[in-house]
Amino acid sequence: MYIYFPIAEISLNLFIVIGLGGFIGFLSGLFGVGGGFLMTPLLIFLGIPAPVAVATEANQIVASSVSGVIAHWRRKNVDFKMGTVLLLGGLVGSSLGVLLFALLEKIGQLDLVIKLSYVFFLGIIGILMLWESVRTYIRSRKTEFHSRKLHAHNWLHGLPLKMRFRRSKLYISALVPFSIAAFVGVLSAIMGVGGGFIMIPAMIYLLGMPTSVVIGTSLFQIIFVTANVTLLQSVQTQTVDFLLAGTLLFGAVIGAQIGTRFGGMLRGEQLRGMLAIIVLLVSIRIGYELISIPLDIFSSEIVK
Amino acid sequence: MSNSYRYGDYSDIKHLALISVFSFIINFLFFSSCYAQSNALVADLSKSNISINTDFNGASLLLFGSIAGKDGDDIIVVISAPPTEIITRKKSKMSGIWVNASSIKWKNAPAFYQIFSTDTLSKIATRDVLQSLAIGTQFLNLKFEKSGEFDTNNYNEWVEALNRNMKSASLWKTNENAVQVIRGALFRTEVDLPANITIGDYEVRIIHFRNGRLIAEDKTAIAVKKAGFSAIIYQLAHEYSIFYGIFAIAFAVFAGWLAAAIFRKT
Repeated sequence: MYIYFPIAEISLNLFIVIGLGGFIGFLSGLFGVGGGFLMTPLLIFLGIPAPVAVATEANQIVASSVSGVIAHWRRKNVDFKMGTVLLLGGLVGSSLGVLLFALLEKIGQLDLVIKLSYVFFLGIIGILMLWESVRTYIRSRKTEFHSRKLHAHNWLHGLPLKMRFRRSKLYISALVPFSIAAFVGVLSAIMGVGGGFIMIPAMIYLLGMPTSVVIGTSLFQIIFVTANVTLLQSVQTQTVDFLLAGTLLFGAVIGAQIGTRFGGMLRGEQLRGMLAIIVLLVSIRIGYELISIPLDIFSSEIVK
Repeated sequence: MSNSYRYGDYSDIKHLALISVFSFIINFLFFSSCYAQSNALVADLSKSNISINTDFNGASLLLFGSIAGKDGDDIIVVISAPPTEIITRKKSKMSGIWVNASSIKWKNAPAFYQIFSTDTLSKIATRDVLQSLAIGTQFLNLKFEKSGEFDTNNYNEWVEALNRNMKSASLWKTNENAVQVIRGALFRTEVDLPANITIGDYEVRIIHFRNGRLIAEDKTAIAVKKAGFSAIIYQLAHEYSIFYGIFAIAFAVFAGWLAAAIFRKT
């Protein structure tokens, strides 16, 4: 059964689209990630124009983040004060990102920048995660204990505009989370991701937030950043395919529930190791596309 | 009196007969070709409105008609979308990565251009005849804007690339031997419109050839429109984009909340 997506202007098998949503939803439930970094490249592989894939995925992430944040909110794992600082940074960054997106599209380099961002950021995150999980695995074998400081103090703590974040047990300059969120916001708008895969490590390692509040707070700010991208892309490029987002969402919601249940059966470092391998594979696949000889060095595109 | 009356009556009838014979001859001499022209080629489509709704996955339609022809006559059908802008880009390798380096914007290229014919085009008519009738993408008279390293000596390379790209997207195509003529009087061809067609009023030209010369021509049109739910979404997205964006967000928030609520209980 085929369904025609009116903004993507492409006819796709309905079951493939729901299945894709379900598969990514399963992975996101299993690993506790948003899945945008997997969904957007797969949508592009399916033949959906890159601008539509990126903007539509932002719309879908709004829904999955809302659904995720509710669970964390109930467990009081959201630092709303930190979340607010992050979302302000995220709004600024994602707005700039959408402008940059339009500029890149105009000069015909959007696909290249999207692909390069994927290769670079997924590559780095994948390697770090794989390294971390291998290390944890070896350590758990040795049953060695390390007493670790809550977080290291460095020059970032000397910046002005200090704020107290009770939930995160931090007293730091608001400029640090603001700028991190702004940077991730730019990437979020260009890559069609929530940005959790960069935001979460940054919150743990750069800000020193306790792991328990990191996911909930990240999801909280992702809602606003992706909503902002959805709105701005709707106005500026008209590339948000509401029907596509809804179809993907339907599969993703079910997949996430199954994934969450499977996730409980596996150990943390195993999960992280598997996720790291998936992230690296996506990075390598996109990287290969950039360096391999194209089927046709010419490409034509109808201007709408 | 009665004689003269009878005479006059008789002459009137004679006059009338003469006039009518004469007018018939004049009519035949001057207007017969016109009748023949307008009656010789009549074409119609099984569907002249194509609706792109959410279940759209391409469309098939039948183009059929009659000609005042003989065995061995040829038909060429040209279906073309209204001219639009198409960008063709060329990649080159820069520090190991393939990057779009130069591009050309065609100002008046049709997003759809397909030819259906009874035979290979070169056998139906000479290149000059085809050119004068603008049959074939090589006679589209494309206008362009260039950017990047573009060499006009390579113009043909770019035109070939455009043809190749549009062909691989099934949008530009020449379907030779796709038109059947039955006893020199009826013709038919099946037209498959792919799922990636763009909206617009497509022009359909049907041209009748005999021994390489044009005998008759007819025109019709196919209106490709978005319809139903698909049209509503498209229209909202383009005309009320702020409202559309807010609605998309509201829907996502609601769907996310609903998912959380449903799966909390189970």
